[in-house]
Amino acid sequence: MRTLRLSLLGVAVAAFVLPAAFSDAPAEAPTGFDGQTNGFITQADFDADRSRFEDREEITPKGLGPVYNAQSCAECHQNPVTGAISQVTEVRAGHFDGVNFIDHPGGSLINDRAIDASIQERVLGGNEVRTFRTSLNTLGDGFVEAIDSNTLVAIANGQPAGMRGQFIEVPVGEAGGLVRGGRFGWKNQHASLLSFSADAYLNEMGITSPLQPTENTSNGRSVAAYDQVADPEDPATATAPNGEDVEGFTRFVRATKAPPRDTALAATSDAQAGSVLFKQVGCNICHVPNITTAPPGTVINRGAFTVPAALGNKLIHPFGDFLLHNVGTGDGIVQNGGQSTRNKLRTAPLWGVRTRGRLMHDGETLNRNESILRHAGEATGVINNYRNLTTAQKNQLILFLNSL
Amino acid sequence: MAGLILAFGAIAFALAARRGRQEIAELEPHPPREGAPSPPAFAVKLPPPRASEVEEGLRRAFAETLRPAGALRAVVGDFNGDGAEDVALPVSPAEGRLAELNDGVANWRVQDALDDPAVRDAPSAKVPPAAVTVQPHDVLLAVVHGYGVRGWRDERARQCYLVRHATGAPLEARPRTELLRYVQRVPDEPRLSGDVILASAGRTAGFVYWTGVRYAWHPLPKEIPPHPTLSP
Repeated sequence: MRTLRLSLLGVAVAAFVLPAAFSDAPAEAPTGFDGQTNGFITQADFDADRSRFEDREEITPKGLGPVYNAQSCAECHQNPVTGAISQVTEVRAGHFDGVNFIDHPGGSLINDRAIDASIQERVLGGNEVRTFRTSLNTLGDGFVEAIDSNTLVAIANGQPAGMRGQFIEVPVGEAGGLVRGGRFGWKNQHASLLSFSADAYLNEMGITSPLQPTENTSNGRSVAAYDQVADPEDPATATAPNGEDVEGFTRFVRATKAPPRDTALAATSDAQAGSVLFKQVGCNICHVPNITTAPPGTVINRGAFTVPAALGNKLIHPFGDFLLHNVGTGDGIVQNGGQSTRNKLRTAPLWGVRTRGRLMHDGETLNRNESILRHAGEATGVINNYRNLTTAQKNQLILFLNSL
Repeated sequence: MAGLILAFGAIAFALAARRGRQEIAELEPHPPREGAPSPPAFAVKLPPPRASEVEEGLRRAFAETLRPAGALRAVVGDFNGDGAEDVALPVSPAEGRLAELNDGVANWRVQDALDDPAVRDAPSAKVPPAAVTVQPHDVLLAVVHGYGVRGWRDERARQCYLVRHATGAPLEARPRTELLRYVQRVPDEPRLSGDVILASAGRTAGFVYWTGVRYAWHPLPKEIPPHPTLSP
C-alpha cells in the first residue's frame, strides 16, 4: 500500500514538473515598488548597487560636471522608489531650417547646472525648437532590454498602416557601435542599459566613463579648464571594464522589478470596464499590454549580453510598444533616429503611470483627459473613438489608467 | 516503487534536457514594413471656407455647445504645423451649455492665450495653474485642427481648443514664414511651428501661435507693420 502511495505521489510530481520543464509558456515578470531584486542579482548586491545609484556625486573625487543636471541618478529616478520617475525635466533645443533639425551648439541637451557660473549653459538665440523632457521610469527596464528586437518589429508589422510605429536601430556602445533595436529614452536612442547608463552618467552628471570618455561642452565651448578629474572619471577596472559606477547602475536597473498594478483599484468593476474600453477604443494598438522577453540564453546587445533566467521568457505588461510614433506631440528634436524621427516620440509605456502628475514627454499636461486629447496624427482614429465615449465610460477608462 | 523511480527518472531527464538547450542569438531584426507616412502637406490649394462648412466643422468638434460670436469670421491656416489646414473663429457658449463646455472630460481643451507658458511650465512652480473655464459671456477663439489633405473639413478633424484672449482685431491668419524672420530677432523668440493669427490683446498688437501644447499670445515685435500686411 505504501509503495502504491509513493508511486502515485511520484507520478503526481512528474505530472506537475514535466509540463513546466518542457513548456515555453512565459512566467509573469516580478513586479513591485518594494526595493527588492527581481532575481538577476542577490539582494545584497542589489542593495549595494542601489546605494551607488543613490550616491550624491561631488566635483572631486568623482568628477561631477563641469556641466550637469543632477548629482545622482536617484534625483531624477526616485518616485515612489529608487529607479522610478520624478517630476524633473531636462531641456533640449535646436533649430529647424525648414528641412533638417540642427543641434544647438554643444548638442541638443542644455544642461541646467554647472560647477562654475561662467560656463552655465543657456538656450542661444536662433534655436527656436525647444522642449522639456520628463525623467523616465527605469524600473523593469532589464525586461525591456531582454525583448528580442524582432518582437518589436513584429509589433510594428501588426499595427495598421497609418499607425505603424517606426523601429530604429541605434549603436550599442559596448559592442563597438554595432546596432540594435532602440527602446530606451524618449527617442529610442538606446538599445542597451550599459550604453544608456554611460550616456546618462555623462549627460546628466558630467561624469565620463570608457563608453563616454569625452566631456560635454558649454554651448559648444570647451570646459576642460574647469575639469578637475582626469577622464574617464569612472575608469575601467579589472572587474568593471566599463567603469565601476556605470556597471553598477546597469546591474541595478537590470535587477529592478517591473512597476506593479494597483491591484485593489484594478479589481473594481469600473477599472475592469475601463480595461475593456482601452482595447475597444484602440489604445492597446500602441500601448501594448503584453510582451514576452526573449528566452534565457539569448545573446543580445550584439553579443555583449546574454539574457539570464531571471529576465528571460517573462511576460511583462508595459502598455507600450517601444516604437516611435507621430501623434502630433513631436518635439522637433532629432537624436539617433535621423530626420524622419523629428516629430516622433516613443510611445510612453504606461506601467506605473499612476505615479505621474505631469504627463506626456514634456510634463506639460496635468490631467488624464487632456493628455489623451493631446494625441493626434497617427492616433486620430483612436482618440476620436475615445471622444465618442460617454462621460461615464471616459471616467472608467481613466480609472483604469490610474490602476496602472 | 517502479512508478516512483520512473517519475524521478523522467524529471531528471527533463531538467537535463532543459539545461542542454542551445544558446540562441538575437537575429538581425527583419526589416519592418513601411512606417506610418508623415502627415501630408497641402496637396492642393483648398478653397476658402464657406459659412456652412465652418458651422459643420464647429458642430463636429464641439457638438451644439457653441455658436459663432456675431457674424461668422473664420480664418484658416496650418496653425499647429502638421501639414493639414486648421480653422479658427470667435465663438460664444450656446444657451444652457456651460456645464457641458466645462465638463472635466469634455472633448476639447479650454485655455487662456495670456497664460505665461514660462510660469505654467516651471518645474518649481508651487501652485499648479488653475483650470480655465468658460464663462457665460465669453467670446473665445475656437480652433479645430485639420486632418489629412482635407484639413478641418475632414470627418476625422475633431481635435479642438477654446482659447480666451485670442479674438482681438484684426484676427487674420499669417503664414509662419512671414513671421519667422521677425521673431528670430527677439530674445525670447517663440517657437513657431505653424501659421499664426494676428490678434491684439487690449491695445497691444500681437499674434496667437501654437506652442506645441497650447495656443499662446505674443506681442508683435515693434519693427513689424502689424496691419494690414506683415511684408516689409
